[in-house]
Amino acid sequence: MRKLVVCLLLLAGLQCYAQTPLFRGREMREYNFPFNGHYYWSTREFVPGSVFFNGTLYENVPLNVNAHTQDLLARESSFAAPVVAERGLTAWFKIDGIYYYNLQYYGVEGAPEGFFQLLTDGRRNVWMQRRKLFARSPGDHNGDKGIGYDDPDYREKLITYFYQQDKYYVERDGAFKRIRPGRSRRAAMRPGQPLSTAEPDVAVPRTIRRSPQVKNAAGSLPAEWFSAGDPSAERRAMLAAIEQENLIASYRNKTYEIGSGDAATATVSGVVRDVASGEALQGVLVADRSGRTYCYTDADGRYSLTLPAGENLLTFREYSMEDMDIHVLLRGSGGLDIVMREKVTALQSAYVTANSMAAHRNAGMGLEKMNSTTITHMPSAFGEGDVLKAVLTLPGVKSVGEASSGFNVRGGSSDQNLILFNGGTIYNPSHLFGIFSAFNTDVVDDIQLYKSSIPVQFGGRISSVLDISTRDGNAERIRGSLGLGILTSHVALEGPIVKDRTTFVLGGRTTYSDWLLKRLPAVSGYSGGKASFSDVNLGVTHHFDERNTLKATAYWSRDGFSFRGDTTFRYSNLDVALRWTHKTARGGTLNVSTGYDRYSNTLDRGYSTDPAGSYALNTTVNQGFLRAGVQQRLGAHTLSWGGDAVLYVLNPGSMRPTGESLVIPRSLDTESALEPAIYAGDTWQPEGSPLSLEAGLRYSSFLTFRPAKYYGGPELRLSGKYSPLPNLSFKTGVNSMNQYIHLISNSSSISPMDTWKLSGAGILPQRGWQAAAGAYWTVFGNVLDISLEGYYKRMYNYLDYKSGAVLTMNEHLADDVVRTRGRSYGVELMLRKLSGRLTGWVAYTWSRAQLQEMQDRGLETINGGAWYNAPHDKPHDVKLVGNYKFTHRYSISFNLDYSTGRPVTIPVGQYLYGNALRLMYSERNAYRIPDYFRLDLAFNIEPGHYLKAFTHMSATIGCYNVTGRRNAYSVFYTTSAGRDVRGYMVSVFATQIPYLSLNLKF
Amino acid sequence: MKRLLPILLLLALDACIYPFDIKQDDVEIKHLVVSGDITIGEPTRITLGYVYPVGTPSGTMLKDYPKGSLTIEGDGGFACKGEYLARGTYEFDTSSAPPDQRYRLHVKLNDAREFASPWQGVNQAPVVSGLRAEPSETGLALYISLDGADSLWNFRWDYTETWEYHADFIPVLMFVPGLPAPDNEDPSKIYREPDPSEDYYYCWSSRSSVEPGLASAEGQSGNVVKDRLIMTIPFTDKRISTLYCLDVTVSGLSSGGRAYLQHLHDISNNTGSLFSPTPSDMPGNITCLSDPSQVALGYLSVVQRTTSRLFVPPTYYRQGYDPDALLFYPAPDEDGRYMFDQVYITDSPVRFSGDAPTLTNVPWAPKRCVDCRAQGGTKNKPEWWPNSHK
Repeated sequence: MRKLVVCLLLLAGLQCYAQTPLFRGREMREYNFPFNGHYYWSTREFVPGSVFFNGTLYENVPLNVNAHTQDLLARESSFAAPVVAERGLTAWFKIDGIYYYNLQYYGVEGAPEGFFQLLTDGRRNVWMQRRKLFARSPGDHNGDKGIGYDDPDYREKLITYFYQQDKYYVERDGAFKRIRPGRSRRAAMRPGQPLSTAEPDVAVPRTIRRSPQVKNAAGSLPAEWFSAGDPSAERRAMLAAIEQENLIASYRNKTYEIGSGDAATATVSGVVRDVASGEALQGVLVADRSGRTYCYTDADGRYSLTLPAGENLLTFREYSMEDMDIHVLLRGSGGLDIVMREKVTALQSAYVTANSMAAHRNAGMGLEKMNSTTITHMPSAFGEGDVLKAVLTLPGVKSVGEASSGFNVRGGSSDQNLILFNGGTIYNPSHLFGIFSAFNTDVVDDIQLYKSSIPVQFGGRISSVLDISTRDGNAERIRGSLGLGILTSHVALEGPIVKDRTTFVLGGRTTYSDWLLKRLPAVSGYSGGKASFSDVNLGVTHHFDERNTLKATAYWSRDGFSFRGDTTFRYSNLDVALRWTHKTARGGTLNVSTGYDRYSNTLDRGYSTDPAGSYALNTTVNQGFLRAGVQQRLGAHTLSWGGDAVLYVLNPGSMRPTGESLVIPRSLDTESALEPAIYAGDTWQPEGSPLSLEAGLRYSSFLTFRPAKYYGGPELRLSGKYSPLPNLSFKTGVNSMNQYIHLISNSSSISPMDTWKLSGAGILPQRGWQAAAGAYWTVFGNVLDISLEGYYKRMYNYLDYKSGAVLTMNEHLADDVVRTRGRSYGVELMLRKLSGRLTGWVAYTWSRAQLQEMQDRGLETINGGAWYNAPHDKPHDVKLVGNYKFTHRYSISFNLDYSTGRPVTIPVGQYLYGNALRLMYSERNAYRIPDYFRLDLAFNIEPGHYLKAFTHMSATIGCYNVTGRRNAYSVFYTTSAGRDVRGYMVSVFATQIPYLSLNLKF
Repeated sequence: MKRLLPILLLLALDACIYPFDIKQDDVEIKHLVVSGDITIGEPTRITLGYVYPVGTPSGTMLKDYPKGSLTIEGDGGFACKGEYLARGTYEFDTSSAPPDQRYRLHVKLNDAREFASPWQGVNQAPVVSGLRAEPSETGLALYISLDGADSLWNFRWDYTETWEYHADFIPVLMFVPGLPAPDNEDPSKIYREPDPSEDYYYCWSSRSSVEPGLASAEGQSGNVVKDRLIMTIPFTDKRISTLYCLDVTVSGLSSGGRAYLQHLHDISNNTGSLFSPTPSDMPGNITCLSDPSQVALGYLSVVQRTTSRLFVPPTYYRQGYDPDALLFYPAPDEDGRYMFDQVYITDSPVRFSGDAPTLTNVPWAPKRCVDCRAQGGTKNKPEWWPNSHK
């Protein structure tokens, strides 16, 4: 043998085949918590016994019994790991002189699975089966035979335990029947001597039915002693739960022998899945004992790790899953599929953006990760979990205001972020003019924000990449969730379509905010307005085989709103994508994806009093994309290479008359272009070396049609890491990016009136580079991560607007915008606590972001050509995000946000012009609004872990802006009736906003 | 809780705009401001001014004006020097200026700085194709329709409102203030009948628009704008209580001129919303010839103007209720007498007896209810006013 192929197939049950000379059986399952009485009687020890297996009698074999699953466990002396004897081949076994018969093996009609002991009082014969059943409940069970355990993390004890149940059967009327419990049974079932202590004849059990004693015994028992014995739903649920326990536990504390041969190194590869749902887990860190050789699982849960031959320890880490450590004995390349279990406590406490020590495992910088659980539990306005608002709690990420669309990363503008949703590009990531983000947390799996070291396969934006992916559907059964909030509700449904092959996940959200807007007083400015949005997500994943997976996703969103008047804004996103993942024969991964994205916004300007001027204005961004990339590990190198192409077709503006309008239908020329790129990168991670490097080169091109124009250039990605200690790392890196599509805006944040524009005549591609360095230190037993990152960033050809610029339906838009160069620099300090009752992080950022016009336009040059503050330049920024867990069900979340007020342009002069008083404004962004401060609190109630419950309800009660501070969104000045200058402040959430949200899962 | 949540939310979103001020840097900005248009076919008025720090009292602004020499020049040889009127305003006789020339304003300040507008052709006057009043939900709406005729696509209108109104009551007796309190109740000592010259029942009032109205037909198949709202007058507004007149002066604008005025309006009034453009100053068309780095504000257009007039009868007026208009005093005791600067006894139909009016059987009214001048108007009836009220 000495060759162990561990093949774990979830859902169909554990299938671990150990090719021993003795047994054809499964890998033995073992529970990972201390309890008594699970195995045969009350010991885990293997005792010598005999077994009649596959027609052969084996003697003096170490045996034990899994009294829960009714499996015979055997251990061959030369093989450390026990195996489960295949029951269909096991006739009987004998331990301590007692025979246990597999009645199904002998074809006894109606006999349950498992092994039976024959009891007799010399007159009546009864078969007894002893089982250990699984139960889990809160409460104190210490008095219950001392079984169970108390999880110290829980204030309320959560007891997982087994209890013993003996069942008795007799043969009655020719069928094998269970005897109902009762006094008569106890009286009748005094254990007697076994039928025989002699070596049984294989044929003996077959005579049982013909045994006059048994037959008589049965006949002498009262009829009420018999019951159907059908396993209840409760028991099935328990079995399912215990199956998961078994799956997890089966990996622990054992050594798996993989492959054969004498190679110096070998590659272990496989798939990591969620034990409960069967979903492939993306982003699981797979590392060796030292932590220096590692990889992350891809979107299909695949990993591949090359290690030195011999004994090793594989660690599997994912922030929401329980840690998994596997001992392996590598003799050659082979497969090892793993299942992981979600942390029960992660429901409240997984505020951690990446697992401990993650920062020390790669040379990349500025990567932030977050999962949907984290997002859901963050306090937010109106209780709706919000992806973008969660992103804003990370250091280096800012926005111009709390109800603004988009975000700014390390001084970049909001259009310099590539927002990918299942690979499709989202051009407007917000609902309800920025109050909600466009992503449904019900279906969101992971979000990853690359602030600094942007992987070489990404391109097209110069500041950051926000990569959001949706979950695969549950592979086991149909599940769903329903959430109700004050303004919105959301629903999700998922499950298998074809067992073990195809799953789906479907989610949707909508709002009913009109009721609130109608009730607002006129002074609010929004009275009588209408606002609505909805979005739908659909994902279908199909596994052709172990090496090929196809995932199809679709996303659609719609927004519409109007505030008093005849003007209605509408915009929508549509993204469809198809991704094929192929695991190559050499352990690499090929990803090919294609899709279509569309962003459209429409302004309906109706003049109820001037029908001649009514019109509808529409702008649209269409893009199709094709991406192909390969990742391949070769020794200490992980290579990635590939290419992608994006075809843009933009409608920069089309105006059509509505009603009796005299407006001439007019369309600006369609803009179209192709953006192909090729890339190659390498991650060099030598075994045992404190040094590691990541290098990549991407060459992006941009070819416009009508008129034909070409732009292009290389993009460099380089980063390095030096780790003098396992918990201390220093990193540095530099990367450059090109961007060929621009958001033309004259407001501080993304608005529906903004126009997207391709590079072309008069509008040059944006280019940017960033250099960064950081130190990362994990202390206090991997509980606290401390990181300090600094960066310097330059940007060129960012478009700002001229005073009085006309940005819609402008054939000469390039004449109304100006090119600017940008610079930003800053330091980000972050302390992150990863475990314990209190989890979360505190981050302080000091940064600056400034722009400078690149042309000299005389008096019209913005601020005379001097550097001026970008709208999102907020030098001091403090964020505190945390969760304190009282029990596994109850926790409190808090969120504190402080930042310097953002720059604004305010009037510094007044003058009379005509009959009116007019304002003269300061240099652009020369002043600041008051500092921003907000504290949010939320109390989370999670469902109990009652296995029998069909539905699980969770609730969050919270308050946004607890202190009721009137934070300024903007300040503005008006000349009241043309005579007085008056200043005002707009505060979007000017007082406490309590909320309640309910979520139901089934 | 069911009822509480909406209330809390309303509190949350109510009144999200608050008075606010930021301390501006204390720097002197004294850029030149040139306002006005060259009006061909009628006298032109151009006003020079300065930019003052925000918050400067209007009194200060009205005292300090740039002084210099202003000339309107035509490229066909026309030249007209401005005559200083007052408060920085110069008047030019451009009544006979030929409309087929291009014109510019040339400013020579006493400090030797020279400014000029660009040479511009004359924007012909649009045709007022409609000026009408129509009741709406919120009041009487006044609309204007304009036709750009041959080549005009951008429009501006300013207006002057004139209205006749009357006091609430005609007095029959007037209280005589200042008399000592009577020992007896002889009314004749404390009131008198009004003199015929004291007829303050009808008054006239007038005011001009502050913001110019702007409209554009650019992008339309025809250069007309139809039924653009000028303003809405509440039904209870005294302006439409007797006779109302709207005089609208319209002119044509270049595209740049309209954009400048629109921008000026927007950055003074339409800032601060979620999607408002970040405010900034838009350059005008006044440049400094002597020092190009000098900034001047203003956009000067060359226009012809036309006017249109609309009378509105009191058809839509709804009299409001003034709870303080009538006071019923049992007697003009000492406190009552000095309550108003002057008190009238009205001829209200409410009379408590059939006898001659006395202090005790008629209602009293404050002065503002019987003297129309107290409501801002004058007795100066325009010559062209169509009715015979005095």
